[in-house]
Amino acid sequence: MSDEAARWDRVKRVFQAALDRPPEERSRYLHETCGDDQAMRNDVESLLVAHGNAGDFAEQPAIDGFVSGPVRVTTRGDAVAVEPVLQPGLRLGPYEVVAPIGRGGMGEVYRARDTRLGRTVALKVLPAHVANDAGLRHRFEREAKILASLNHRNIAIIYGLERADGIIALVMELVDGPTVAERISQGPIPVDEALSIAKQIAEALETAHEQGIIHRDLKPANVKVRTDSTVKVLDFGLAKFVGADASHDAANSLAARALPASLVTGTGIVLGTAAYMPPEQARGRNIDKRADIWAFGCILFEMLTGERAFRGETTSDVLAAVIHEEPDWGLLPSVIPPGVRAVLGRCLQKDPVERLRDIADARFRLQESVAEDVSGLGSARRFRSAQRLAWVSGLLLATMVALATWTIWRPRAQAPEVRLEVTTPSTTNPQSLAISPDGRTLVFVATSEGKPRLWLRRLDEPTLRVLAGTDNASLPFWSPDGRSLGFSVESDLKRIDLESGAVQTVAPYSSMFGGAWLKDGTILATPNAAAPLVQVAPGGGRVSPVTQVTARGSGYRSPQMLPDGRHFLCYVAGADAGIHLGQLGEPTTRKILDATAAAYSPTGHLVFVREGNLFSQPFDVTRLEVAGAPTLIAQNIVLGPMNGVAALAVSAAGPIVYRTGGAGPQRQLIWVDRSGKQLDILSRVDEMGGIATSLSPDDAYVAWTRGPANIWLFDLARGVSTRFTFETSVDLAPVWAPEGRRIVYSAYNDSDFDLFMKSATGSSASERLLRAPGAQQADDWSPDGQFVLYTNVSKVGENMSPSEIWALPLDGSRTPFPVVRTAGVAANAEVSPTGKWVAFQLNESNRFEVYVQPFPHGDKVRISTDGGVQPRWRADGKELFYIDADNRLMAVPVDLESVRTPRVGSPVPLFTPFWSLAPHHPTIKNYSVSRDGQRFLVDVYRETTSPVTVLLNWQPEG
Amino acid sequence: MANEAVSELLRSWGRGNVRARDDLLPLVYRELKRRAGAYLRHERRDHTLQPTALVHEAYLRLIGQDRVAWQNRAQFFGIAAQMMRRILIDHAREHQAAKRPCGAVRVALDDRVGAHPPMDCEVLLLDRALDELTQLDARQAQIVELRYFGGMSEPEVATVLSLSRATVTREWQSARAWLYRRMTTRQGRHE
Repeated sequence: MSDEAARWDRVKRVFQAALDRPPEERSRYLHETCGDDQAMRNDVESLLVAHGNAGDFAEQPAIDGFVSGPVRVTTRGDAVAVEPVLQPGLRLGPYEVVAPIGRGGMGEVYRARDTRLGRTVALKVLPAHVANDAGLRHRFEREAKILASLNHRNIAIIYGLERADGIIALVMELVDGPTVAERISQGPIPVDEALSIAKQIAEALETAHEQGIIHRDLKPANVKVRTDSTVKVLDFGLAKFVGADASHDAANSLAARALPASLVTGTGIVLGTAAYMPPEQARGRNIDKRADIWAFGCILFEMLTGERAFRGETTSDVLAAVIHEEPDWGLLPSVIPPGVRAVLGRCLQKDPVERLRDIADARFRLQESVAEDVSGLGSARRFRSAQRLAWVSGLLLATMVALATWTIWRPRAQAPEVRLEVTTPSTTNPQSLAISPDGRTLVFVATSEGKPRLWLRRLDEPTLRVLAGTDNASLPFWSPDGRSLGFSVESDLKRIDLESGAVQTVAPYSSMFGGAWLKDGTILATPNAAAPLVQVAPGGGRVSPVTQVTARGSGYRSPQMLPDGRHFLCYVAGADAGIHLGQLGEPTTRKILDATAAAYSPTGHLVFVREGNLFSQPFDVTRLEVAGAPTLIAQNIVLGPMNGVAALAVSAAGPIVYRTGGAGPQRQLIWVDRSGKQLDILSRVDEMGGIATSLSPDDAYVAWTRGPANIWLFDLARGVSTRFTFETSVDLAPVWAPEGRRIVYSAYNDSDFDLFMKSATGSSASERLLRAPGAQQADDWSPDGQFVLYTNVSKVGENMSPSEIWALPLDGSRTPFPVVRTAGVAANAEVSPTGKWVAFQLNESNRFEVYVQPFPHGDKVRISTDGGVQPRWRADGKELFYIDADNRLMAVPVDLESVRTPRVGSPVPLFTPFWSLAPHHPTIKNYSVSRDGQRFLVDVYRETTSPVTVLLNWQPEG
Repeated sequence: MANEAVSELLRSWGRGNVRARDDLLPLVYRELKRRAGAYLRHERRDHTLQPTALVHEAYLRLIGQDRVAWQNRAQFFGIAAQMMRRILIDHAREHQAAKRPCGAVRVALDDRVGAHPPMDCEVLLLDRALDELTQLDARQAQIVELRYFGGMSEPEVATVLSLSRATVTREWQSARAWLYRRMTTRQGRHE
């Protein structure tokens, strides 16, 4: 490696590590890492800056940039614009162009159908100069992301960007109805209505300003009024990309900018805008949110009078009027409340320092002035009202005031349905999300510093917050008061108090399939795939089963309370698989719906996932049954690795959240080398992928559980799966015989897991080897073929129920004998290749450690130093592998055969994969080792970045 | 016949015959150029066609069907990305020839003052910077080639290069930052 290359290798590592840290920690990290090497620090810092500025530089394939569809050349003044023209029927991603609607501030606008969601949207096609200019394009895309986070009922929502063949289109909410400009062209707007429109514009601005977004081009043509009187402000923040203006706007996207001199020359674009431009902008100075407040004043004036506040024959005349003249206040109708006049005066102050600073002030003052007006203290209209109401008692008058005020200022009952996309950092656990009971805060799992952690996103703030102390968290659920979250880590159920950040352990086992938090503090938990629902008493005390495990219901998952606080929904695996309805205190449940995940929506519907699609169906809460027909809400929902878990949550306040873009199963089986480098992807593991994989002695096949809990054999060379067991039972934990021709496994029948054996070719029927109290989980087969080792779990379906390791001789007697006896949990036994030792995991000291002991009996020797599960031998018996408490795959050299006292080396970490299932559960086997110990077959998650959709004001059809 | 020849060349290359690779290049190049050419000239009005689809299509045509071992397919995608790079560079040179030199656009990319679409220049500059990156970090350069010129997704790149997805992401991020810095600032040069 050249010096330069070696240096780059160092620099890029530091850069990558810095990037993995939150921005605020990077400086400290660089300081610590680079020490005195200022050159290295500069180098990394400039890369971080480049990374921040690069936008989507090079993210799209080069060929995309060369290809574009037909274009139209337009001229506006001296500006020449090249715009793509879309033919009806053309597809852009999922959008099908229906018809052109007209010209918007940026380019042609089309009506289009979203074929996925069946809704109509507006596509605003970016002019060619933006689409083809990499720099502008990057900034535009960055900007669009910010704008897409603007969520207010009076702001036309930006759904996202769609690009295909060099065309970039902004996908927006389609708003039907006239613009305010069109309304004004027919004369002044009646006072009440004008004030209602003004109030809604003010609310839209207020929300945007709170997020630091300035409209920059607010004018009557950018405000639409729907037939239900809802006002929608269009084109927030897009002004800077319009026409020639765009290429000059070099400043940061959200920072204020100067008006380029070239604009003050008299093109059509400017003429339309100049009338609403504040004096400071007309003078070419920087603008801030007060520019929008000025424009707001102009619009209000124009609505009330039907005339522009500032007029002129040419742009220069208009700008001169803006700078020097006062509006003709005499045009204002005499009937308006005096407060309105005052607000107008404050909005149209030429000196920004004198102008209203906050649009909320304008809203309050208008509101007050209307109230005063109706209560009879001012104008002509007030006088008439007072006359009419003179005989009415004060009390009734007050009621009227309140009512009238409310009628104008009340929130719209029919707020529009909004689908808001929230992007999250990449995650290996995309199905883990939940929305707070008040519908305001989203929690999800995403990777932070290489670990899955809980992140919070308040929907009304664009910031993300990682919750400390939530490493490896999964499937969070909210407390009913919204102040705490329950979540699972590998072997614990925990809770975090959001205000203090305090994390407590609620129960000493994970709730692998989610949980539900009852009003009295009880938590419903799901200890494992085949367990009943259990309830954990408030404060984390007593644990007792809620439901009963049978063949028809062999695993209870994802409980969701119904509003009555007594009934709950959950997914149930087994012969009667589907969504069941249960009641606290009743051990049996009843199937009500064919679906893999479901939640109750306060609209009186069940929202559920069936075959990866999200549906709703009316639900009768008194009869506790679904009615009517299902309606599709969204497609391609991310599903968890096993049925019962999907990226879906519904708030008691209404919002529905889900993550789409499943892109197939998240889990995969891959071969990796000793450094963790991926050598080969063997298979995507489907929904019901196994909880244990077992590699055949010749490394040619993998046996695992999949489908409805049967064992399948995967041929590694041919990439083909064949089904191995066909029983209706749940078959788990396959183990190969040393000669590779037979397989022992555990099958659940009626009440217990028994051991069965079957020929690996599948040619013979299975033979029951052992039936004993409790559950038997096959662990290993001794190399001489004489013994099958298994874990005897005393209580089926309970997590971490005491378990011991036993051996079953396969010769005559078939009388099992204990190998490791304990009051704790011993599991995952594997006999050494010589047959003289057995390795296993045991939790004598609170957590699992890996031990070896002579087989069948003798003193045990501890192998792991820092927690350990799932020991595996290399085929020559000279090395042991296991997973430590930090999920690292560890290797330990051992010498057990040539010496009297076993010699054990120091464990060294090899790598840390994103294990798809928590390795510390005693029934799970996450990996196999090739005979030579050089390759590992690991069952891992891949990271995804698909966005979360928040569905607000959902208006169900059924 | 062509199919069998390509399959055989791939197999032969897979067995370690480097000459087979050289024989393969012109075949792949011709096929890709034919397809990419039509694409670039807007003859294809099939808006769903993506660059990866282009390579897949060429692959299927050349190989006949999807039955060559994955290892070979991975190699094929590596070649295809290289070829796509050549095709796109040629295309960009033709288009850019009459216009101003890209040196000026280097500034434009950073300052955003150029109103002209600098796509040609972006590609040409990136190509040059990528050559420099190859000297520093061949694997990163290959990742960029597969993604940017070959139009492959990160998981596809991971598969072709037998890397983990996470590694590809990390390497891509640092390579992209390096390239961007190289193309937009003087500091990009390694003094």
